[in-house]
Amino acid sequence: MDLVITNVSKQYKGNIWGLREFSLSIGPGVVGLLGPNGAGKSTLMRILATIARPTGGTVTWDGTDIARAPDGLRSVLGYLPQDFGVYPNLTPLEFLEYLAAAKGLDAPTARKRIDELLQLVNLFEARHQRLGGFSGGMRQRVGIAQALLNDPRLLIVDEPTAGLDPEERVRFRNLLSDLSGERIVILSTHIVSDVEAVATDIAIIVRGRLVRHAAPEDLLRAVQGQVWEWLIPSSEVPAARTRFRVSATIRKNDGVLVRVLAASAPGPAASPVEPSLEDAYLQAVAAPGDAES
Amino acid sequence: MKLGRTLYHLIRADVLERTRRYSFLVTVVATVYLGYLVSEGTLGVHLGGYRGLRNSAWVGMMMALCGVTFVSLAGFYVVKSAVERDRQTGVGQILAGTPISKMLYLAGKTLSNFVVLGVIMVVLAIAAIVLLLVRSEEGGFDLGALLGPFLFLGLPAMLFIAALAVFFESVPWLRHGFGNIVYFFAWTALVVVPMETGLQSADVLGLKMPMDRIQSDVRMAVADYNGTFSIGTAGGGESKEVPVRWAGLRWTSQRIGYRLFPVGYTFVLVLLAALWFDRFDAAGRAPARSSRLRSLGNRVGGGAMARLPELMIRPLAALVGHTVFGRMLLAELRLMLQGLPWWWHLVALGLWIGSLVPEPAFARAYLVPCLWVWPVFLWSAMGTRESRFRTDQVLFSSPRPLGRQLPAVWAAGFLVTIGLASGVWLRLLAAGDFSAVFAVAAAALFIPSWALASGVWSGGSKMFEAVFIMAWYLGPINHNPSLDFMATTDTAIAARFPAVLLLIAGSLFCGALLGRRRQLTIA
Repeated sequence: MDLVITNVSKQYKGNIWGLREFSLSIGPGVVGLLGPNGAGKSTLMRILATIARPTGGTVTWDGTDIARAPDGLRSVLGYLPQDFGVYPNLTPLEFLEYLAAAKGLDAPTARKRIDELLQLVNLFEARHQRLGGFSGGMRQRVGIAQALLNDPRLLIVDEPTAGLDPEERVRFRNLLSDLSGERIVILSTHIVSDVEAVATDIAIIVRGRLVRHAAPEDLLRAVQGQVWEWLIPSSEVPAARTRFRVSATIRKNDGVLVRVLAASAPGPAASPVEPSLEDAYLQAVAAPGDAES
Repeated sequence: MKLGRTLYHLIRADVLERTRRYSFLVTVVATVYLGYLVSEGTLGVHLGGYRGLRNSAWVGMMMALCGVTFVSLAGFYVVKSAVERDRQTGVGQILAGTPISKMLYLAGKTLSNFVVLGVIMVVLAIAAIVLLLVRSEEGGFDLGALLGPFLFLGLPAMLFIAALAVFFESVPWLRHGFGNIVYFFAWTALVVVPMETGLQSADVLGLKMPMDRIQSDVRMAVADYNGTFSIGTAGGGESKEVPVRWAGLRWTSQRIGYRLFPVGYTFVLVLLAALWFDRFDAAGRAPARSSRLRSLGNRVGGGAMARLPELMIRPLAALVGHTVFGRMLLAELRLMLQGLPWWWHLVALGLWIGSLVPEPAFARAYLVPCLWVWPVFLWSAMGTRESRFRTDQVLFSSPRPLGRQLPAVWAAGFLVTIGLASGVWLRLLAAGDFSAVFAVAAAALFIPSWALASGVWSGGSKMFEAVFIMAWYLGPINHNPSLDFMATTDTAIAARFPAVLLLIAGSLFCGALLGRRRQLTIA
C-alpha cells in the first residue's frame, strides 16, 4: 500500500500554479499536510481524491496511475472535503445509505456499517432527523461518517476539525490516530496542534512546492537551539518584530515575553527554550528557499 | 445620493455576477434562437389566414409581442434566482448585517432582474432590425415604429416580471417548486384576464392594446377576416398566410399612460415582497430545527464520539465492491422524491387516477401533458443536484460515477416519467395501440435525457425549466406536431416523430455522460 506523487503540477488559467513539481511518497500512517492559505493543500487533496487532474506529473496508488484508472483508488478512498454539502431533506441515515450505494457497499453491509458509524460520531439518536436542521458540527460529523463508510485504505481529510468543538476535535484526532495503523491518512489543516497530536509524518507546502517532509521530531530537531524567549518592554515589541521572527507574545507585569526564532540569542536577556512544532512550521514557511536548497 | 450609490452597486454586483455565468450566455443564445424562429416564420402573430406585411411597424410589433409573450413566461424562471443566489452563496448573510433596508435590497434585485430581461428585449429588437433589413416587404425603415413596441410594451412588462420574480422569491411558500407551478397559472391569467375583461389596467403584458388595434385595422382592410389573433406557431405555415398592410400603433399619451400600470404594480410588488422577505434569517428557513432535534443536539453535541474507545469500527474491505445499481437507483429515486410536500403527491395521484377515466386517446392528448408538466422541477434538478448541494466532491470521488451514479439519476427520472403516464400507457397497451405505446415510451425516455443533459451542461436547473415550459406550451398544449415532444397527436406519430425523439434521447444521454466526464476531468 503506497501512494507515490511524482513531479505533480497543477496550472490554472492565467499562468497560476496550484502545485509545482510536487513529489512525495507516502506509506501507512498519518501524514499531516501543513501550509499557509493558498499554498496548494486543497489542490493536492483534490488530485489525490481523483476529482482534479494534474497538468503534469503522475500519482500512483499501488503502482497504478490514478488519473488513468481512478476507480481502483476510489473503491478504497474515504474523502472528507473542506467544503462539502448535504441534502437537507434527507436524514443522516438516508444520506449515508445513499453514499454507501454510491461507494458500492451492499445493503446488509451498508446498514450495519452506517449504524456503527452513526454511533461512532454520536448521531445515532438523531438518525431520523433531517440534515437541514443540523448544526455545523453535526454536519461535519456526518461528513466524517461518510468518509469512513467503505473502510478506506486511503483516508483524505481536508480541515476535518472545522466546526467541531474542542472536545470533538480531540476525539476526532484520536480516531484518526487509531485508524492509521493499516492505512494511509492524509490530514490537511493549518491548525498545527491537530497535526502535532497525530501525524507520523509532516509535509509542509508553500506556494505549491513541498518545502519539508519529515517526522515531527526531525522538524523539531532542525530548530533546536533557535527558539528564544525574551522579556522586553512593550514599547520595544514593534522593533523586535521587524528584526526577528516572532512566533508568540505573552503580556507580563514587567513587560512582554517574546518568543523569537533566531540562529543566535536576540538579546542578552534572552534564554533558549524547547521548540514547538509551530516554531518549526514557521521556520519552514518563512524560508522555503533554504529548504529547497 | 448615498442611497442611489448603494442601489447602483447592488444592481452592478448582481448583474456582473449573472452575466459572467455560463448560463447567461445560454440565455442570450436562446434569445437569438427565439428571434430566429420569429424571423423565419415558425413563430409569429397570426390572423386566421392573414398576417402583417413585413414593414417596420409590423416587424417591430410582431417581434415585441412574441418576445413579451414568451419571455414573460420563460424569463421569469431565468431571473428568479437573484435572492436565492445570495442565500446559497452566503452573501445574503453579509448584506443582512449591513444598514441596507429590505426595500432597497429588493428594489436592487428587481432592477437587476430588469437589466437581464432588458438585455433579452434588446437582443430581440436587434433581431427585428435584422429581419426587416433582410426580409422587408415594403420600402422604408421607420426606427420609431420598429422600436416603439419594445420600449412601451416590452420594457414595462419586463419590469413587472422582474418584480414578480422577486416577490415570488420573498414569499416562503412561493420560493421553490410550488411557486414555479403557481407562476405558470399566474402567467396564463396575465395573458387571458385582460382579453376576457377588456380592462387596460389588467393588461400588464401589453398584449391587448395592440391586439385590439390590429384586429380593427385588419377588419377594415379585409372583409372576410374572422377576428382570429394568436401569438405562437403558424397552423398552416407563414407561407400560406395572406399579407395585409398594417400601419402601426400611434403612441398617444393615453396609450403610454396605460403602460404605466405595470410600472405602478412593480412598486406595489416590491413593497409587498419587503413585508414577507425574511432578510436571510436562517431561523425561518425550512426544514427548521425541530424541538426534538434541539433536545437531541444537547445530547449528541457535547459528548460527540464519547464512546470511541469501546466502539472501534470493524474492517470492511472484504465486503466492499459489489455492483449495486439497483440500490443506487432506489437511493436516487428517494432523493428525487424526498422533501416534496404531501400535496404534490396528492395532485400526482389525482392526475394519475384521472388518466384512467377517459378514452386512452383523449387521455394521451390532454392528460399526458398535464401529468408531464407536474414533475418538471424534479427533472430540472437532474444533473445539477450534486453541485447545488455541494456533494459533488464526495460523489465524484466514489467508484464509477459515470457508470453507476449518473445512469441511476437518469433511470430515476425515467421511472418518475413513465410512472406518471403508466395509467395511459397500460391502457394504450391493452387497447393494442402499439404505435401510441411506442410514442409514449419514446417521450418518457426523451424527457429525462433532455433534463439530465441540460442540467449537466448548463450547471443549473433554470435552462431546462424555461425551455421545457415554453416547448410544452408551444408543442403538446397547442398540439403542434413539429414540437410535440410528448407525442400527444396522431400527426406527430404518423410523422415518425417518436423515433426521432428516441434518437435524440440517446444522443442527449450520451451528451450528459460526456458532460459529466468533462466535470470529472477539467477540475
